[in-house]
Amino acid sequence: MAEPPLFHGGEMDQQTLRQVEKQCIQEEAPACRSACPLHVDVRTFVQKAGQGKWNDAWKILDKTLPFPGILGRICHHPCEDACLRKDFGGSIAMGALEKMCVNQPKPRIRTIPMPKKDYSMAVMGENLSSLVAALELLRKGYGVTVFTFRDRLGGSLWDMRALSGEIIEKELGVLDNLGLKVEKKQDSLDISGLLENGFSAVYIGLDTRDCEALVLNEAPDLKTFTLSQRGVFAGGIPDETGRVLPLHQAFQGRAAALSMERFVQGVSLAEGRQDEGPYPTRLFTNTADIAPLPRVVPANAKEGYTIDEARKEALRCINCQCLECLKVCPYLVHYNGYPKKYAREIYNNATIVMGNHTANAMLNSCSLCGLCQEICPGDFSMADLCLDARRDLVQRKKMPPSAHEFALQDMAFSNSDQFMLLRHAPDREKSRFAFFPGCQLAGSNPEHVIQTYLFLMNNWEKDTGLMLQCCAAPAHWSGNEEKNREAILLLEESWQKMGRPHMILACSSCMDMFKRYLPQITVSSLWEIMDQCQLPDTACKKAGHPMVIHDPCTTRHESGIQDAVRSIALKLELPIKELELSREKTQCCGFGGLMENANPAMARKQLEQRVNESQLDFLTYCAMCRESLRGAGKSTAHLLDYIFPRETDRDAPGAREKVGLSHSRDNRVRLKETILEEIWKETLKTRSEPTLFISPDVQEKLDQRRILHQDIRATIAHANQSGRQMQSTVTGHFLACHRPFMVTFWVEYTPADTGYTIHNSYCHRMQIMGEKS
Amino acid sequence: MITNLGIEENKEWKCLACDELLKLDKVRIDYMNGSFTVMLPCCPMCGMALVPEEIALGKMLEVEKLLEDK
Repeated sequence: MAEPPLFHGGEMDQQTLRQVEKQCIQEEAPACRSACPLHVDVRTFVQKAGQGKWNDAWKILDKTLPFPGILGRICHHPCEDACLRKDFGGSIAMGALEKMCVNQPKPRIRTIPMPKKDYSMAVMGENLSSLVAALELLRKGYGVTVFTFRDRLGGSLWDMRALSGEIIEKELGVLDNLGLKVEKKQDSLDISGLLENGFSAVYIGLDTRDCEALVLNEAPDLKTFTLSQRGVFAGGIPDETGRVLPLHQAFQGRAAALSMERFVQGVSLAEGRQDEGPYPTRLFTNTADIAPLPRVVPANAKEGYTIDEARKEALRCINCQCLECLKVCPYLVHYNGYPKKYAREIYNNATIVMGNHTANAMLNSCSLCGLCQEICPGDFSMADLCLDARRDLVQRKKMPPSAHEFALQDMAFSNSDQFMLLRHAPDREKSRFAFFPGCQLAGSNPEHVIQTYLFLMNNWEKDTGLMLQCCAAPAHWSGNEEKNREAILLLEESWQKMGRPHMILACSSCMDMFKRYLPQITVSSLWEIMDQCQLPDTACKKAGHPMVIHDPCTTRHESGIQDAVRSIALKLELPIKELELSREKTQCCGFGGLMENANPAMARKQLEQRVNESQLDFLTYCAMCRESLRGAGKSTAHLLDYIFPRETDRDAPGAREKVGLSHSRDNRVRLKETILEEIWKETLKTRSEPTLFISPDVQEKLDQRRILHQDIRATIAHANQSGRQMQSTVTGHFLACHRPFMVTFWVEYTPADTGYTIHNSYCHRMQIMGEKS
Repeated sequence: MITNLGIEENKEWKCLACDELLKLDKVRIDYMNGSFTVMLPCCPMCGMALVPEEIALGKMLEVEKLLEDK
């Protein structure tokens, strides 16, 4: 997957932001609005009508419709044709709602007049296109003179049954208020004469029959409404029947007025006007779950809707939105926006000079799982955006230290002597293959690592070595490119030392890292290999109850791995069902992208949503997913729980308890010791550490607070050495603190026979400066 | 300026080395570019200060997060 460098040298530029934003289509106009030549905000209008807020609805019309009292009664509402409700009971009766609205008393609407400009415009004709052009130009601050051929402004409007004289006069009164001058066209006056006599541009309204002679059969350009003579524009073009619809008159008058303004400003007439007039919208609206609802029929057909009927009709509006990604991602819901909004917030976060970086928590909480991109009709990738933003923060030393520190320390631990191990198979001098279990499987179940390794040596290839180390995923997810480079280099070095073997990977996150950063290395998934082998006779087969497969999010585009896992499950005769969000649409368990590190509460939300997708037990093939899902109280088995079952767990492999953070580290240390002893007959120097007696309640608290046993031992050792400790006069417990790195740990304990009983522990990042005042 | 964390004097903890009950006193605490003076229970002899759990996980955590986002 290519990662676009969204941030150049620490800052995302405006242009890149626009490109990123454009991929999210949520803010695109709904079909009704984009079908309207004048782009009336139909969706908001109908929402307001549905709420019975007719004053607000009036204001919406007034914003975009010129002479709303006129057009609201005579528009041919092409929005109805485009309405997505059309196939589900009939489109919203926008025409009727519009009429209902303009029949209500018009509210006071304040407008701020534009400063007067030193240009005068001439408008020929008294029909609607000319009047709209005049209105638009007056509103922009230009002086406007309308030259009429008949006596009255309004022309054919006066012949319309839908309009009373009172309405026409009232609506056109606005022109007078804005200072319109009206002159009767003199025969001697021609267009060139107008331009020579102080007018900067001329509009010719072809919907006024007498104007036809002025253009000499020339048709104006249909985007800019220019004629060949400079400064002359024409609109209100009759169709083949010789008529022109009011909405088109208004649109053409408005578009020509914009061209006239651009003309006098000396800027491009055509640029950036592709979305003027009706256009196909990019907004996607999923109608899969829309139930049909018939159009409201007015009880009195002649009178039309009553207020209540109109409101009821408006409530049928689907309120077209995209928000497809929000339907599958609780994280995107959590921050009360959608990707386009988040892109802007992340951009502001990156460019802010003073003040708080308010988007830090948001951009650090994304699981980088890629589901949004998979779902998005516009291919928006929140993962790319957030990862680049993290890299930018790290680079500028603005990344909150607490966000990823624990995970990076865990990576350093896995790449230390305590876990790292490179070995060819016993008595072999080379490795054609190397098994790479990854930190999480080793931490979750070290026995499985040993059993799998023995299985591979015996059933796949004798020359299979073992590599225990971290794949650098935590550094990648954290956006720390320096640490990522170091860890990747170390990985490549190990691979070289092993004689460049074909890697067998148990974890799909490791797979992602190898493919991303070390494409020269041949890799296979453990599951693809196992699927080609005879499974052990001792495997647990025919689980009685059905279960669903949870695909890890890093297998999203690894259908080969997904197929292999299902094939193994079939061989084990496991009654497998599919989750709705599976394979390329799978959902993250809340650990991906270090979501759990940066925002534990968000990760819990994510996890709960996943767990609640099915009442059935889960089966997965990522150790971290198993830990997360099991931690949420869900019976969740790892595929290896079935392949290498513990005798005690044969009946319920999914019931194995979650392994906490300290336990995971202990397991990794123990794995190295045990595997060296059992397979290579080497004995490591045994550690002598005081035993910690910790109740399950306290242990849970420690895991939540990310306090490891090693932190506790270090704190007690420090207290014993320095003599700096406190004692409770009530309980007799000791209390000591220690700051081994950027965190101060407090431990409340009492010495016990062979170690210590731990009553409580907590930590903070602020440093006590110590001196007595 | 002294930031009040709302800690009340309590007579539970004593400094083991000095055998003195802790008393509220001014202590400077720092994080990133922030520095505050707060009242914390301290040993009147050696000055060793105690950060109670509810402060570490409450007020202090809030301030840490604010400073990290500066």
